[in-house]
Amino acid sequence: MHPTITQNDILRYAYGETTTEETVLIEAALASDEQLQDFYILLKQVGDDLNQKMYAPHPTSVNIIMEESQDSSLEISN
Amino acid sequence: MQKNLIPDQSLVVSYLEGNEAALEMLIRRYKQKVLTSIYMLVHDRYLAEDIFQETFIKVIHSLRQGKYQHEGKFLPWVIRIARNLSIDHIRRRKKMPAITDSEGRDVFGYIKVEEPNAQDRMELNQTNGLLFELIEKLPEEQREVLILRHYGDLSFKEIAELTGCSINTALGRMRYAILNLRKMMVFVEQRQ
Repeated sequence: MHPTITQNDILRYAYGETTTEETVLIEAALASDEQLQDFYILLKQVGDDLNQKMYAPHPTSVNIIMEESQDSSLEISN
Repeated sequence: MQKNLIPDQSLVVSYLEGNEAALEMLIRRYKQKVLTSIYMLVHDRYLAEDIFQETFIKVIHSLRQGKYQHEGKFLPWVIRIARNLSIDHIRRRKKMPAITDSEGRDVFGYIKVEEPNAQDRMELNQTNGLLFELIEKLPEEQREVLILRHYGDLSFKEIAELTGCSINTALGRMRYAILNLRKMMVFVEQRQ
């Protein structure tokens, strides 16, 4: 019998925060528990969506940062 | 998962040795995660761009002053700075007195100062999907854990320390965020 694996454990597993021993137990539980499987699949779907839909800064923002870096570099060397 | 060929720490060292391109590489590596995290906290695209710039300028000064102690955690460090600056802006905005019209309505509630141009609109449409709208509807503490864990790469323990709650509370908030998103998605699908 598996020790009780919760959705919180699945969250830690999905984000690579479990120990080797915990990972073995969680993967065994995932193989046999449909509710945990559903939660894991949902978590992966949301994660994939979040990775695909991100904002990109305007190129001007990056230029401003790089200019600031160059200016502060000059200040240090002078 | 995509692995970065040059580790963050090597880029940081290279930058501090005078290689400006190393900083640009770090910015390119994390710019979307950082900007998206900020946007999800402040809900304003233009303010998010400003805070994005402020964040990396602070990163530059902190690096040069030797304030960054690398523990394999460059992105979480940047996200902490971004979060603190975002919270400062939110607090300042809340303290600003509301400017009302003759009927007592908040002027900024209906005046749009600047319309996005065609390119900005296209960019927003391409990236801002339904999921983002639903995330904005989540309770603040759930949204924050989702952002810090997913985009910021902070562990649940680090999130707990940063937000002043227990690990179980942080995990619970993340779990409710995921389950609430599913509920909202099902609701939206049923209405379509």
